[in-house]
Formats: sequence, structure tokens, C-alpha cells
Amino acid sequence: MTRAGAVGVCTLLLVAFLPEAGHACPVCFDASDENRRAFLATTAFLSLLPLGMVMGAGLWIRKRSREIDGDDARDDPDPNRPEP
Amino acid sequence: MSADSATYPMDAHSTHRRREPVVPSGVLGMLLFIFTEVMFFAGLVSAHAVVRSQAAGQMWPPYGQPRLPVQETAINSLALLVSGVVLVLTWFAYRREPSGARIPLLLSIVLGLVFVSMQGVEWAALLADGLTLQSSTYGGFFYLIVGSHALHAVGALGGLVWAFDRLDKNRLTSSQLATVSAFWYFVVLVWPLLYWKVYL
Repeated sequence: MTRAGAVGVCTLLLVAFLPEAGHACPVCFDASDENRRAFLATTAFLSLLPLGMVMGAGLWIRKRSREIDGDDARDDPDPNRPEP
Repeated sequence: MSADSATYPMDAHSTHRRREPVVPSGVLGMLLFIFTEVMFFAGLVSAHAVVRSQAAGQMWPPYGQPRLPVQETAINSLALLVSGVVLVLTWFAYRREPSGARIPLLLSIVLGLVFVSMQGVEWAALLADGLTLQSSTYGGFFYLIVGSHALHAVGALGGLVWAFDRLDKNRLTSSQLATVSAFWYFVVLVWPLLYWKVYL
């Protein structure tokens, strides 16, 4: 493993294992089940939504790009052919 | 001249056609803007859900606060949804013949105006009943979430009116129509979620 790779893995491990639960959080340790569920559900929602949007946009742009490439290939099978 | 430029001439007499953009710049810019607005509404809805869950043992809406007009707003929501469907038809009409998109685009704008106007009437009644921004967190969230959506609806309607003006002058491009339509679709599609979370 390269030095940069080792530093990356160590950083990842530190980020994963060092943080502790924030006991000051007013809803994480609430006695009310409904409150805890709402907190967890909204945390998951707000974490996954941007990732979903970015992935969705990426897939859509990739699909559009392939469609345009397909159209170009159909219109002109050899784009490097010199003009007569 | 380098070997590359000799093989792929880049001047006006080039034998290569310019590649069509994968996504028009206007649409891409609007999508990025919509992403930020989706997160804005997601934050508001999440805060509303957590505050509402804290009142689980108590009443929601709180005691003494007026109830929201669920049925009237459902009918109003229908106008907004139909407006979105008509805008899809506008797009297909534009692709066949741009002048044919005039009537569906106008209809979409009128339905949008009906939605915004009815929301205004509903707000006036709620204010008269004592539901204000300061009356409770219930009122605060209602005006913040529904008001933000109304602001977006007014902005998107402005875009549609601008598009209609350009269409009338035969100057509307398909990418311009797609850009303003994307914003209106956002306004239409985010509303059912807001209605479900705030009204029901």
C-alpha cells in the first residue's frame, strides 16, 4: 500500500470510530418513541435525498449522452469521412 | 498546423457537426437550483415532523387553533396537478408545432393562477380566524412551509408568463420552455408532499 493510501485508510478509520454520540441532542434520547422515530426517519431522509438526487441526475445525463451518441452514429456512420 | 488540427479541422468549413449538448445549459442550471430547493423543503418538512412528534401526547393542531381547510385545499390541489399535466401536453404540442402550444400553455398558467388565488383566499380566512405566524408553532410552520411554496409558485408562474410572451412572438426555444417547465413541475410535484405533511 502506498503512503497516501495508508494515510487515507487511517483517516477513514479515525472518522468512523472517533466520534461519540451527542448526548446533548434533545431528541436522540427522548423517552417518546414517536419522537425518536421521527428524528431517525428525518435524519435518514435528509441524508439519502441529496445522494439520490445526484445519482438520479448522473444516470439521466448518462442516458441522454448515450441517446445523442446513438443518434449521431445513425446520422453519420463515419464522422471522419472527408467531404466529397 | 498540428496533426490533430489537420485531422479534425475546427474552422467554419469543418466537416464535423457540432455535438448537441447533453443537457441545455438553462435546464442544467434550473436542475441545480431545484436540487437546492428540494433540500430547503426537505429541511422544513423534517423540522415540522419532529416538532409534531413532540406533541404526540397532546393535540395537533394545538387547542384553540383553527383547523386547516382540508377539503377546499384538496380541490385547489387538483387545479395545480391538472396544470402540471397540461404543461406536459404543452411540451408535446410545442414539439409538433410551436404555435399549437399557445392554448395549453395559457391553460396551464390560468390553472396555476387559480391555485395561487385560492391559497390567498384561504390564508385571509385563516388569518381572520386567528392563525398567525406568532399564534403557535403550528401557525408558524403552516405559513413558513405553505408560504414558501406559494412564493415558488408565483416565481414559476412568472417564468411561464415570460415563456408565453416569447411563444407569442415566435421567439421561444425548446430549451427555454424546458427550463421554465422544470421549475413548474417542481412546484407541482412538491405540493402533494407538503399537503400530506401539513394538512393531513
